Amino acid sequence: MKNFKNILGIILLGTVVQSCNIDKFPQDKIELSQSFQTVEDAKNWDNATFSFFRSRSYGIYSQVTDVQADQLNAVQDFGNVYGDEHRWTNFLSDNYSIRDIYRNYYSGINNLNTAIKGYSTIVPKNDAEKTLLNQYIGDAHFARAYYYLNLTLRFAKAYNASSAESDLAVPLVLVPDLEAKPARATVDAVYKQILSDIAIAKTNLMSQKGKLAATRFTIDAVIALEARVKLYMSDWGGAANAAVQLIKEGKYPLTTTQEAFRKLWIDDSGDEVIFQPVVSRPNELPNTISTTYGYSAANKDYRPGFMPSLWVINSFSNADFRKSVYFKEVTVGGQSLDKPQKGIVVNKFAGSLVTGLNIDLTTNYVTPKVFRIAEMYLVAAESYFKAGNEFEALKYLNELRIARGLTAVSSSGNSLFKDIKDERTKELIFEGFRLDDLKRWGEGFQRRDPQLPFARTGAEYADKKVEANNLKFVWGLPANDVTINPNIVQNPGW
Amino acid sequence: MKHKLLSFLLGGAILTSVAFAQERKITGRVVSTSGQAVSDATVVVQGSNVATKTDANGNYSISVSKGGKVVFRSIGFEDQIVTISDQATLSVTLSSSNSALDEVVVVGYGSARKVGSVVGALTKVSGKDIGGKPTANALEALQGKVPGLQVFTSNGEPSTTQSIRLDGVGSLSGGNTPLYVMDGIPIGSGSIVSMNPEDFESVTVLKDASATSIYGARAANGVIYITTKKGKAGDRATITARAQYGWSNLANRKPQERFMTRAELQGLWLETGYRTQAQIDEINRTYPNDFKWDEYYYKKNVPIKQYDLNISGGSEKTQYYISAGYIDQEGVMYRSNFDRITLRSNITSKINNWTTVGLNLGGGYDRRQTNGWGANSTNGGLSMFVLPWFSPYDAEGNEYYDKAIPGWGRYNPKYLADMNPSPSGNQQFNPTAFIEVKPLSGLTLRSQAGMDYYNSRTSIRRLPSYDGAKGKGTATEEYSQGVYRTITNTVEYKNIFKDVHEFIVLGGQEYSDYRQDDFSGSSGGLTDDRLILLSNGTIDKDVKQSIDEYAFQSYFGRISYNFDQKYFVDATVRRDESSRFGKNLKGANFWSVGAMWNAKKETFLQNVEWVNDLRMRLSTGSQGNSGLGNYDALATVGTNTYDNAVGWGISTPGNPNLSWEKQLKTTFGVSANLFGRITLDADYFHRTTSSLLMSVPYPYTSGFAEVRSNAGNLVNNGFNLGLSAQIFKSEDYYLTPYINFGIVNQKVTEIFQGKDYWVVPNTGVSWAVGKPVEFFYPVQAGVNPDNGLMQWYLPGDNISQSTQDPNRVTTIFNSTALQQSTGIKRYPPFNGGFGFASGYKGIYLNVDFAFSKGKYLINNDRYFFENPYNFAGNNQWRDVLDYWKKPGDITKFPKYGQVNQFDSGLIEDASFLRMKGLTIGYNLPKSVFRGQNFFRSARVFYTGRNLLTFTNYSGPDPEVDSNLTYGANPNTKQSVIGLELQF
Repeated sequence: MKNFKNILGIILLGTVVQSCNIDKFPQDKIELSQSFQTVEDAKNWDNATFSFFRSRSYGIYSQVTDVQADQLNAVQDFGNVYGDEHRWTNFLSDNYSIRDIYRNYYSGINNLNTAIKGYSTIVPKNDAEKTLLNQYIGDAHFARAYYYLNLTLRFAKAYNASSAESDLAVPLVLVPDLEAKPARATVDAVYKQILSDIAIAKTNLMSQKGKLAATRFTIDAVIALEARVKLYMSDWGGAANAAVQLIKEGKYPLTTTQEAFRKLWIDDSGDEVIFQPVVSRPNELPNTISTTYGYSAANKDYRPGFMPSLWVINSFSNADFRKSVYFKEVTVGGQSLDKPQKGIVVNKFAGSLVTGLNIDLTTNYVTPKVFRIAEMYLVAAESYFKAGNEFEALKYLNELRIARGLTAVSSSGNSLFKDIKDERTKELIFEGFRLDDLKRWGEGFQRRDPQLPFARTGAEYADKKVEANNLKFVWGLPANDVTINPNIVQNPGW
Repeated sequence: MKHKLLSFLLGGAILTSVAFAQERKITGRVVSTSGQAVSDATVVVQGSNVATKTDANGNYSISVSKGGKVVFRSIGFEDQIVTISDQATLSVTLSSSNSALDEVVVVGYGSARKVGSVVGALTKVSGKDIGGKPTANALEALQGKVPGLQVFTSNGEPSTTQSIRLDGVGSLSGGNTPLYVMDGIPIGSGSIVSMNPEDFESVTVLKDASATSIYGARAANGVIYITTKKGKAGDRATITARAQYGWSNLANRKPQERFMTRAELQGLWLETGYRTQAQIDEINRTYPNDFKWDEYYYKKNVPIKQYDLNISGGSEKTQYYISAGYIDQEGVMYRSNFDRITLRSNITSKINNWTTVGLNLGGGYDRRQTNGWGANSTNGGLSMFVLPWFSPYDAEGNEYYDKAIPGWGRYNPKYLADMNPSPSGNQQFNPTAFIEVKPLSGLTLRSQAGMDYYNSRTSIRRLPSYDGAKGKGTATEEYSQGVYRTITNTVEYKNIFKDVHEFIVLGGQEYSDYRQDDFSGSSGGLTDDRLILLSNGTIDKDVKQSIDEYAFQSYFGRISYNFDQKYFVDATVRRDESSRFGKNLKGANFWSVGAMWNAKKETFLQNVEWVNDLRMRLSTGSQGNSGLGNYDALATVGTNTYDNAVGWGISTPGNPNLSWEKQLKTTFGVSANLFGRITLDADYFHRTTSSLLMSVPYPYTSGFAEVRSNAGNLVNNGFNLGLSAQIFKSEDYYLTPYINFGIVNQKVTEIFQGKDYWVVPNTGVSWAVGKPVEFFYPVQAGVNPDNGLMQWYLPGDNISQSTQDPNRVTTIFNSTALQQSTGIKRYPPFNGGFGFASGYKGIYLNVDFAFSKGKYLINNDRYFFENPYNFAGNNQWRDVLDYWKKPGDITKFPKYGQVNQFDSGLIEDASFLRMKGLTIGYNLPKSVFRGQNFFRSARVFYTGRNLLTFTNYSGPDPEVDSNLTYGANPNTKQSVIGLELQF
């Protein structure tokens, strides 16, 4: 008995000195240091390049500037969603849209920088792997150029050759560095970096032939980006060349019928599209542009936050194929309406019930059409016009007009420029271009002609007047970075 | 009658002894140690039904035979038993009972000790103050009961868990929740709502370094030690059965009553030109109602039911406690409910002279649902936007059920709840087993293992018949399992040398790990309410899984010494290694030293009769806070999907130096018992937190918004006081009021990157060096009477100072440029409670109040409900009628057309005083039970919770523990009647 007592005591003491494993690693993640070992790893990073690109298309990335611009009016019941952006007055540097757009582009860039750095450490086993790795490098540079373009559009003045070397854009971060406190680079430096990334992408994606509705970056997507960038840089020759190259290639014909045009937008037919990310239910859903739609299944009516102004709707002639696709007359309801009544909503991003993306029209999932051939016609027209070649400008303008069911125009001079601008405004409406175009054209605006009784009236809403020199055309840098990074200089007016 | 009752009470039914020897009368006087007469003391002959009481002068007389034993007892004094020999007079001196000091507590591993011999500071709340409340979570019972412990219930969900903070807020973002330990095994705070408060023998709050440092890297916020009930040896088991039934309502309806009536709102609309008379007339033709919506969205008189049954008993060798409990409570908002079944079996057995084993099994099953239309939803927190002229009833008085309410355009909340069920079923299991061996005198070896286990399933549906998405139902099934396992081995040696030198030496090891395993599946395309399993779905089939783990490996020790129960010292050490710490760190070491002086033992106090007890304690030591994420130290890559292929992207930045937060806590305390009636507990504490765990903000250009790091220092110091008194005490009546409170001062002494302050984005809260955590917001300077525009003070050069210069104001709002210190503290500095227990004969009345003073909230509800231009077309509080109309008007709100901003105007004093508990009961007289020995006692009672709230706060609930609140599901009040029987 006494022995047993002692043995038991020893056993209990023995358990005291047991050792246990206290290393725990996540099971749904791997350590960064382990993630660039093979080209197969690189492929995974490349997939994420596209996944992140998709999540940085549409949604706030195009919607916010359109709400800020002159074509939409907040409705009575808009619930103050994007209210500061729409009113301009209290649009401040701690605004969530500013924060999210800036932060997400940079987190995208950080992923790309990490990938570019990681790719350089991988040794391909054979030529096939080498080709793949080069393609991934090209993809990363393409995406980085695209993000920097959009950052510059938001946070810097429009490119102006005479001041680009002193105008501040955004910090250029090209390698991952957690502790860096980068200063803002000049507009010139950022555009040079964008062109340099485009050049690498061009080389590395040379063999990625373009095709209609491509879901990976192709050489054509690179050229489309180049055309867009050079237009914004006022490099008229370069922009026109790039745009015309794609048009002449003939892979992306303009649709020519009302029905084809409807399918392009509503049913995601892929016509005219140079690049669009893959979207699918349930795990690869895109951002939506639904604040201008607002179908209410409960009320069987529509409750958008913003509705297009009448002057915008009326700028489309009835023959224009785009009118009935971009707009729709519906019953609009809302608590502050005394009763539901007919109104016109933006239908461009309504989404389709046949693509399988939407079960009903409350969701508005559509494939983001990131690069379209129609934009190239407009780039060509504007660039040729600016370069003094009105003949070519008219040609591309009229080719687009005719494809949209309109007749050719034969204007010239300022009148032609106005026609080109109007066409661009109409064709690309609500895709996020408007505010940047006003900015680079040096135009202010006066909101007018709202749909009543839906719209909110008053100087801050339907009668908002914004001068061309309003400092808030250029967004302020997010308050976070201004506070944390001593090297950041805030834009004037913020 | 008195005599009879007493004899019943004391003699019971044992009258077997009939051998009466010569009886004689004995007289005498009963006095206290201070020489004062003790009146109404009971004098009883043991083993008989002969009893009497002392008179006002303490005199008594009683008949007793030689060799008999006389018992003297009075409330507040120790019993005294005297064996009668030949004396005719017998005067006795009763000494005060310090029952509180004789109570036994378990302090950080090791065997139980008397409270009075523990150096560490702790407060024990006994089971009678915890059970029987009309609330599921035992934690609320601590509110106002423990000096320095702040307990807030932030919402009215029946399944809510309280937020608890001890001695202020010591961490800015590492968490402030104490470590919960039940019967020696750490448990998660979220598990407590799944347990029956009735099973808690006591909850002890361990406060100072001496008491907490031995818990190491998880102890910085204090330790809350729950002891479950044990059986008591006795000749017969005790069975207690209780049933309670009652109703819940909103604790406070005043905010709801601020909404305008039809006439008021239409008046405003006309006055501001928002609507013309013709339009108003049209509205009135279409919607001729004036409906009171708050009672529609927030139900009245929802039921609560509670049933409890427990049996305890045992022999010298084996004791048991078994219990069952049930609570069923509905919330005031729709789809909010909680019901819980609990079972517990605690068994301890001494299997031989040197071995004791025990097994506690606690388990339960609860089902819960919470209102799913959140704070920001016009079906939930913002539902009061609804206009009063709409009605949920049609002209015939039928309620709209499956179609939207006309005008309002939203479904009936009941319909939404019915169509979108989201019930969770949670299984909770808390086993603890131990074996204790005493191979040598004074040596105790103990091994203990236990776990905190839950298994939760949630079934979320949108029924196919739901009108908002007809024929497009969705199903989601979520599964979550958490296992928190702990094994502890200790060796304790205890010995007394020369009768005065007592040593206790403890050493131990502990390993604990946690694993949470979650997965969920979902599908869509359900078409029929009868076929709503996951597998009935046709589209959107999706699965998710996550696993989270951490582990701690620890070693600890303690040496305690006391000299003659007069001078006590102890010292503890602990080392923790954890999977959570960064690669560059091995383990954390903690220590404490403490001393206590039992002054009453000194000769100079021995004869000071009004001092019954006086102790002073001083301790200092370190603790840690390991509230870092499980994998925050690692730089990781996560997955996403593109074109049905896997993608890899950066997930976390990692920080190989990430460590625990370090705290140094020093406490000086005094506890005393005076006049045998007054108990006092006072302490002063000083907490310094360094290496603060912070989500340090990074420029977004880094790719991250913040990185979890250790940076900065914070100091808290304060004073806690607990005071209670027995004002009256006798067997017939008593009144014992109490008050507890804590005052705390907080000061940030350093933050990251050498900054002077950091305004946490979008919170209105700032960490500024040299100041407590404060609200930083643009500060209103009132409406300019000339132009009707709101004005704000321009901040000075140093925005950490509140600058309010009437000559430096602006009417142009800018949330960042105008933000500055408001001088208002984020955390309430003064919290506590008071109340009393009282009784007369069988009737008793207990009242408990809890209060918080200096508590402020950003009342975001007012941004919604006092913003008639920004939220035009919605109902508003009638306060907005006070707006500027013409030059010279002095008003609260600017002219119509101005947006009311997020500024100091929203910061409101949310100090409150709340009657947390009120119980009136009646114990049936013992005479009722005479003549049978089945029933022992019975009582009927009424219990109320949150019956009264006093506050100047205008929003739905001042008790919300947050910097900012909107759309709260507010606290509720309960009225419950109950019956308790004991067999």
